[in-house]
Amino acid sequence: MKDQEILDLFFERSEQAITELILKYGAAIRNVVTNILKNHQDVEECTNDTYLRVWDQIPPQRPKYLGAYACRIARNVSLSRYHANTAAKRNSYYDLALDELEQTIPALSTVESEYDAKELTRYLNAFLKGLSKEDRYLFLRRYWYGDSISQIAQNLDWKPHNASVRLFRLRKKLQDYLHKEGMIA
Amino acid sequence: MNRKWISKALSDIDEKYIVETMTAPEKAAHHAPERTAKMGKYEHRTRGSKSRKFLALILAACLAFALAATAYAANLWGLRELFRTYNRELPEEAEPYIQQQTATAAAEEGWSAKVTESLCDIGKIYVTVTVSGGDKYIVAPEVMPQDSVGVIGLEGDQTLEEYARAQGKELLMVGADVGDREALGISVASQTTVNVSDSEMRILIESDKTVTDTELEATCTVYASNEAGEVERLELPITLTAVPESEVITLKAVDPDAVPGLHVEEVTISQTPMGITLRYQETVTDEQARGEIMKVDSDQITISAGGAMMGPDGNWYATYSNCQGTVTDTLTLHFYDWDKNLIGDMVFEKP
Repeated sequence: MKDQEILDLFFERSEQAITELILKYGAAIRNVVTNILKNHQDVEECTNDTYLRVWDQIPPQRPKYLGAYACRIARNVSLSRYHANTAAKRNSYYDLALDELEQTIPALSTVESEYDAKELTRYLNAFLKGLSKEDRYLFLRRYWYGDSISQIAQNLDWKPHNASVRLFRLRKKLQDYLHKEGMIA
Repeated sequence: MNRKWISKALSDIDEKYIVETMTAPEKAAHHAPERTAKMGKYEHRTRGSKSRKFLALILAACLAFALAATAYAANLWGLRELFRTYNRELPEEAEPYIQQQTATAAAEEGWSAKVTESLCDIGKIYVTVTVSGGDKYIVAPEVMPQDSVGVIGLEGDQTLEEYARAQGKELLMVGADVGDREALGISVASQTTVNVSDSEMRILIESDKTVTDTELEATCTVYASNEAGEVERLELPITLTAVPESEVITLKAVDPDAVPGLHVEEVTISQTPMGITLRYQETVTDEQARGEIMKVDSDQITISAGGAMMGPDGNWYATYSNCQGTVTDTLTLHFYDWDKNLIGDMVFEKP
């Protein structure tokens, strides 16, 4: 079923909309959640929360890309749970991807508010625009979708080492870009 | 750098890039006339639709080979070997305490699960489960059908769903968990998966717990979803016997309020074959300040896993298991925030 047809179902408040959403994007949503939360109970709850939030938000919203819209909600729901869990759990291993980015932009210590985060988003968007499609895939699968390096390497038909080196170069490139734009010292 | 804001900034990335990267960019190999899938020494090549029938026969033969070849390998994936997948070793002293489990169950839809081994420490439960798809399913962890066959240990550029169809089977995505969370005080669990063939997977479930009873009755829940997202569950009862504890000592906090957000009176330290376990009850004095705590470390012992969990009594208990090192009459714990800045030290001494 096309996205627009699923959206029509949401607007008609037909529960079939959720069924179709799950059929088309359920695996992608679950993948995003699973990459952030490894605990089955959390995965299940956050996946269900995602469907509920999509149901609550459409209408009035009518996203252009339903899959990306739902995945973004899934990511936000999962990150909230992740932050809540990690504060209690501590020493969790999802920090790997964030560690990589943090080491890349350590001087970005002034980010303290939502406004600053939006500024960083703006620079990240501009940075992504300048990358090749392959590099964008590499960067976002690692830092947005939370995929492992070996998983990304498999999908690109690369060796994990090559993906790792390429990611390192991309982080360096990001660092140079943010420095040039005055975002970091 | 506040990691939460990096997450936030990433979350709001332009939607068009999220859409674009939902699937992998086309690879050169996709345009190649041959596609290859390998498992062990086996390799097969597809040459288009004309040879599909022939290919199916080869695949069937090769699958039989693969299963035969992995029958030996499967024995290598016990609890000890799964434990090693995170570059850690199960202490030799703990190996005699690995319990053999026998609970099995078969699902209506044609797959089955068996609990094979377990190991229970004061603060941890480890359980291994084998999930078999029989003749009907290709068994994979909780991933996407569009993911590479690399997820189940095969080489090649086929997706899982393509591979399953080529085998004339369905794709089954499985996971497992230890139930009875409230009764056992489990708040966090993780799982490690390894495919021993395309139709059989081993799972190591690793759960933190607060209940310290030496004998525990629990349930292992194995769940599986097909490509349509329909989920089926199996419940497998298990009895867990905790490894013996020795040298339990209690040290008192010199300043119970040394770390903002927490009040800690004392820590109990015990030695088991798995290593040292630290436990203390923490009273939350400032929820926000406590939320800033990301990591706990010590110069005396290595702390690799653990954290604070709410016990069945509603109190918070911090448990750090499998620590290696030596604790004598004093212990100092360092508390760090999300940015790895030291928040404070909690010093414990013998009363």
